[in-house]
This record gives sequence, C-alpha cells and structure tokens, in this order.
Amino acid sequence: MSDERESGADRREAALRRVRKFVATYVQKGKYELYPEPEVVENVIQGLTDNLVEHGRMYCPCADVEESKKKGSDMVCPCKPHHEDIARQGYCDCALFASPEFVAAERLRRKK
Amino acid sequence: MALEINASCPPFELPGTDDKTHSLASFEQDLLVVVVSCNHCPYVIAYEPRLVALAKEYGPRGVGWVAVNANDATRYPDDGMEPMKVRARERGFPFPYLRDDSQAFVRALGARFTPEVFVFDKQRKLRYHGRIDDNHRDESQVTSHDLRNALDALLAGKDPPVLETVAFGCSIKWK
Repeated sequence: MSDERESGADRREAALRRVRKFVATYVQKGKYELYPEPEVVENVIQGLTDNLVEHGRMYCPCADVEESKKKGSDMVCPCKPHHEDIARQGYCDCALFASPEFVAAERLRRKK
Repeated sequence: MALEINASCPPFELPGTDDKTHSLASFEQDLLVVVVSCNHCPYVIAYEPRLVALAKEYGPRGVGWVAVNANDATRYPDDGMEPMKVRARERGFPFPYLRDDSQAFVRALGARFTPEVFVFDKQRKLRYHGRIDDNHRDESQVTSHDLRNALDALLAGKDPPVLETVAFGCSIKWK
C-alpha cells in the first residue's frame, strides 16, 4: 500500500517536473510571458499536472477534460485557441501565458 | 482593477434562473456573498457542492448568497440563461443564480476568475475578496478555509483574518 502511494507520488512529481519544464521552455523560446501573478500560474501548473497524471495529456485545466478529449490535441497546452485568446484579452483562458504588453501594463498598474 | 476593501458594492439589477429580477436592495441579510461563477468552468464545478453546503449552513445565520454568471454566452453557449437554469435545478442552488449579460456588474466588481467571491457587510461594504479556500481539487486537503473564516469573523463582529486572497479558476470570458 505504501509502495503504491509512493509510486503515485513519484509519478506526480515526475509529471510536475515535466509540466514546469514545458512551461519554462515555452516562455523562454516563445513570444509570450507568464501571467503576472505567480499564485495563479502555480495553480494552472498544478492543474496541468493533475490532468497529465489522470488523463495522460496536459489538457487545459480551465476546460472540461471529457469535452477536451473529443477535440484531439486542440485543448492540450499550449492549446489551439491560446493565440486568439491572448490577442483578444492579453492572456490565455487559463491565465498561464500572457502577452508582453499585458504583463507590462499590469506591472505598471500595480506600481501606481 | 478589483474593488477595494471597504468599497461599496456596485448596484445591480439582473435576471435570475428563477425568472425573477434581483437587485442589491433585494438582499436584506447582514452579510452578502457574491460569487462570480459560470457553468462550464471545471473549478466552479468542483466548488459547487462546497458553495451549496456553505450557503445552507450560513444562510440561516444571516448571510445572503448570490451567484452571477457574466461569461460571453455567444462564445460559450453553456453559459447562457437556459443552461444556467438547468444547472441551478440539477445542483439545487439555494441561492439566486443571475445572468449579467452586459458584464457591467462583474466588471464593476473587478472580478477576473470563476469562482471568485466578494463578501459585503450590512452596509454593503466589501470585507473579503478572493478564493473560497486553497484547494479546489480535494476538499479534504484544504488548509485555509478563507471564505468560511471571513464569514465566521464577520458574524462575530470582527475583521476577517485575511481580507484578500488571490482567486484562481477560469478567466471570465469577456465580450
């Protein structure tokens, strides 16, 4: 029993490392930044990890997983609509990735 | 920009799933919890049983509850009034579930996510704003019952131990 628990914890830890690496790489190499609130970002990362462990893919935690599964890879992070969402509102629907302009504006707003 | 602590609740007059119009003045309780919510968000779905239980527990103690859905129902048809009626019926919401189609009220609150809660006192000044608790995935793992703590403190005539927390969930689907 404790071995099973340990193995489950190990699996989640490995999944969490994979998600963190993906997110860091995507931001490093891509045109977006992280949503400018670390607590929000961390929650999304945990949600992506849950979905990776439970469903085998990084389905967006802000979308219904069963519905997402019907859409192939469209709702696997980085999801298909995230470019459009960021262009429209400055951040993706899960509030993980954001445009540099949105991040800069938020930082400025908080300084005031 | 979120409403600041001690700011007044913006007025509203919105249709509910009960086919009635509800306004700020229609809530006479000592405290009022406004839950910015929606139909389709997994975070909301995870929290709904907790919200229903909290409303049933605190309702008789003078706490009014209202849930408001402002998501763009054109892009997210599941957040339209008819699906909202189904949800309210299926989940047995003991509180009005309102549709803010213009998004004006939810914008005035400065809400960003669903679910996000705002607790107002008798004078309808904001006393707590943020998350419900710190674990949407597993209620048994919650270590900080932020909304409950705020309500308990306010009902005892004290300030909430924490006035603001960062809400997490799905972003509001703005038009």
